Amino acid sequence: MANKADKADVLQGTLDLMVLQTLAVLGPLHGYALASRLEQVSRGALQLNMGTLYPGLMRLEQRGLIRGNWGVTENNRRARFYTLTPPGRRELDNERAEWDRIASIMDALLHQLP
Amino acid sequence: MTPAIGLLAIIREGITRLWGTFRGRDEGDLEDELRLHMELAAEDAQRRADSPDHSKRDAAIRAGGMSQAMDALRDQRGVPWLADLSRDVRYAVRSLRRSPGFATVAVLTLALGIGVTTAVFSLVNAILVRPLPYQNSDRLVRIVEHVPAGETARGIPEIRPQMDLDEFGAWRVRITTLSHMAVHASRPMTLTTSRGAARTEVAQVSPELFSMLRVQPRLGRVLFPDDERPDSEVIVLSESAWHKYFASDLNILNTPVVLDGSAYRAVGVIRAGFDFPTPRTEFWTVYAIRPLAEGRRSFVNVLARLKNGVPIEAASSEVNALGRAYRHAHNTEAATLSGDQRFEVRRMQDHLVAPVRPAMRVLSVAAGLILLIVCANVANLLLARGISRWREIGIRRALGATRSRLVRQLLVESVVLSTTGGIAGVVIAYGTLQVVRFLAIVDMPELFQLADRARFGSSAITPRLNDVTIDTAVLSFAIAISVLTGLLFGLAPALQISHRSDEGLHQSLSSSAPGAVRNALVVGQIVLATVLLVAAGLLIHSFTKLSTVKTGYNPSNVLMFQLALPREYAPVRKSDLAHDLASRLRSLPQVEAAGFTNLPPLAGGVLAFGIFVPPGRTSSEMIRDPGQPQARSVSGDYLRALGVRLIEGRWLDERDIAGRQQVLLVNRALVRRYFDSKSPVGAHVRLVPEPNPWEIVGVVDDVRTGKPDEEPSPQFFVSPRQVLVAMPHLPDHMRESVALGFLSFAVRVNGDPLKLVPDVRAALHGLDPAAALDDETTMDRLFFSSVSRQRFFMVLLSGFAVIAAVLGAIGIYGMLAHSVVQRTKEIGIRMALGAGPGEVRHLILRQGVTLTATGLMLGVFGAVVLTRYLAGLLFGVSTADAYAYIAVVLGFAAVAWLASYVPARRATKVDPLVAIRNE
Repeated sequence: MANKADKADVLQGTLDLMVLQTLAVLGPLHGYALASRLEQVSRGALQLNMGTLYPGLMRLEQRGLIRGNWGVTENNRRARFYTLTPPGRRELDNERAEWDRIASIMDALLHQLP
Repeated sequence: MTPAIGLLAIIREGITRLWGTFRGRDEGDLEDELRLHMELAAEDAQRRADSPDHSKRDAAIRAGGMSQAMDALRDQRGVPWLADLSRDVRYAVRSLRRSPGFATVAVLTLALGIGVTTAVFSLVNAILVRPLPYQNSDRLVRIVEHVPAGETARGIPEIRPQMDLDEFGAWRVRITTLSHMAVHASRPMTLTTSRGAARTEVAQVSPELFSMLRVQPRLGRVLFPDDERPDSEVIVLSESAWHKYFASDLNILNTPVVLDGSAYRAVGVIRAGFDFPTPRTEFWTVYAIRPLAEGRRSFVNVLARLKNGVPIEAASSEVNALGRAYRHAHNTEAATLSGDQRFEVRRMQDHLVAPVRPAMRVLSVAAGLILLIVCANVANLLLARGISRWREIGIRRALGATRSRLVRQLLVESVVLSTTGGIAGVVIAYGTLQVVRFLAIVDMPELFQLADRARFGSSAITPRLNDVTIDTAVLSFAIAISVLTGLLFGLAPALQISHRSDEGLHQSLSSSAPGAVRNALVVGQIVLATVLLVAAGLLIHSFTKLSTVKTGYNPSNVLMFQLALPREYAPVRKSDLAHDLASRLRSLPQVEAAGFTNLPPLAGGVLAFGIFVPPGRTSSEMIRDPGQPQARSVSGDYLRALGVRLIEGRWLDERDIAGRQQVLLVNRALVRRYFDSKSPVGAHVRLVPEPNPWEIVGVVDDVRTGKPDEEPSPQFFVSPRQVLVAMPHLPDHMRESVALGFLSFAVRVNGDPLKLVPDVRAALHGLDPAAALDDETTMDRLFFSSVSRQRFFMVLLSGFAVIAAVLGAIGIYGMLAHSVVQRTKEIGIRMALGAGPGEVRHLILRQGVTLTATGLMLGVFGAVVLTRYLAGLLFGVSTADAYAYIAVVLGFAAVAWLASYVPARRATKVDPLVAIRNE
């Protein structure tokens, strides 16, 4: 349990970026599909519980970065699909650039030779 | 790391959440989404794993609990504390609805308190606080002179707001701390246009006024310094006058404007919104300063503006130095020029509102006291209610409500009460302001309001009355005060209830702690009410003194009117007509006496006619005499019609006409001042520059010719016919204004004075069809209106005091009534043991008497301390006036006894059997 909470904390900051990126690559997805995709990409390292995922989605929606609409899955189930909005796409571009910059700095720092 | 999220996005989230608190996605919608997640997770797990049982549990754990997710979603959806608050508000409304009696009393009480406070705030805000509607109005100043007692006519220190015209000219060129100085004088004039004649108000001003106030023309130009010439005939008019009289004619700049028969050349129309010196001003002409005739002084109103960056104190000290130096050089009053700060610069707004500031302060304090009483009252109601809510509170504690949660809930309940009261209070404030406006308008003919009009710009008892409205500032105040009130009166009960331990809930019914708090609250109410009652008592007593002051005349059964004659009539013709009318009226059976004067009592204004020089004095000595007597011209019967007493000698009469010995009547104040109180009859005095002496033929009683609170000053009376031929070198219009002035008649009637008006009209018509009556009224009415300001504050403060007293009585009653209910068992036991109704009544009454006595004692002490601030508003009454104190103590004690008696009587009706069994 403690381990999971730690993971969630780590996720909190980057969850937004991961959701936006996933929606940008795969197009509209419902919550469960999003979670499965993230789990799959991380090879099981990322297991999002509903209490983290859905409030996060709601926050992104309140900020106008994604939009949720009820639709129907291929198995004919009612599901809420999330789509990236134009401000969301801009936000993603900014965030990605920022991430790359920080990551390169961290990389250089952590792998520098003695 | 924290991602840098756009500020806009965050604001958007905030707004959405605020909205979402009440109108977010509904619960079902959220649950549907989560349920789908659970189902899909379970299916996936089933597909992947071998054991369905194990997989399902695993999936559920991984997805996390449904209810936790819902909680997290709810928090994200709205603003959590706001959601709690709205739940508390709904709960509070429900709980108040369950006790409508309590809620109604509390809301009404609060409405009263908040309403009164809001009304007073809107008065104070509009009159004292809000800046005047001129650009940089805080830089605009007046120059006042402090005249010590020895140099004033009435022998008391005065603040003279006007400036000697000669001195103004000298100051204007020397002053360095003021950037502008302008003279202004207003007067009513008759405007003649192609469409007829109309009365209008004209201001004569120094052209500098327009640059000082940065006034823009709507058309043409404003007045320029070049216009300041004695022969100047330019005029500018207000936009509303342009619409009203000239139909917005663009050709106005070439049209002559005819005022009082003289033509002026219009050079501009002033943009709407400029209303200096008064809102009624419609025309502005040039005030050209010209040297006065030797021995004459003229005082003018001056408006000035501080130079940028100059503090007002610097201007004050320069003005003081300049003024003293000028007086010294011209040696007029150099020897007697006393007082360190003789001249002072005051902000225009401070000066304007100075006459009403003390009263406004008193009203503010009074309103604050009422609000406190209301708080105490409602707090007590809440405490009483709290006692009957122990069960509810106890149950909520038992169900796990925290103390802070309970306190919050109870405070929300108080604020719901107070804001409801606040809304009703705004309605009450609106009503109060209507009454205030009605009371504040003085219903008097124009002639009697010249002094106030010049100062306040309206015929009201206070300046800026038209600005008093319920605006956003007032509404914000009402909201703020409502919330604050709610927190204030709610805090004590809320803390007390929540601090009671769960086990103590039952014992607390008999515990004395809440009783002590409640007693203190009742005593507090009585104290505050006593202070207000004493203040009102002082004002009422003062007003009675003022209304019955010895004015020197008898106002009942006197008809007053002015005779309006065509302008072109020669003064002698006017005088003859007026005398003829007076004698015709005298011949009517119901008329006892009739006569006229140039300036009636209560009209204010000072009229000089020559320099009064008693025997043994010189004119150069007398010209500097501050007590220089005022002159009134009176036709033979006028003083008798007013009911003035003749002390010795004779009245002026038919003998005193042109060509005969010039004669005077003098008043006692003059005799005291110039004849050492010895009989002056037969003495000859001079009225310089009139060469011939005047003989004093009689002495009359002092008359308060100004406002009733103004002490009589030395006066002499002359016959109009003799004035018209005196002082040959005076211009005709000046002699006419002294001899005839407003041609104000006084007619003493046997019966209702106003019933005589048709007869007067008929008589006048028979004499001259072109003559007319103006401003018919009675002396009683004039006197009634002349004390309007005092009446206004007395009525308001008395109203407040009555409210306070009633609230105090309700407080006592509520306290005792509740105490009877609480002590039913005790009373029952006492009765069972043989106590009679008298003893039971005594038991409850004693409680009431103790509370009242303590409150009255402390209240009297508080009143002694606080009513000192009333001193300036009182007339003929000291703040330690025993009558007011005794009346208040006895009166309030009687009311309190009544409020205690009702519950005490109810206590005697307790049935001992029922009381004891009822547990």
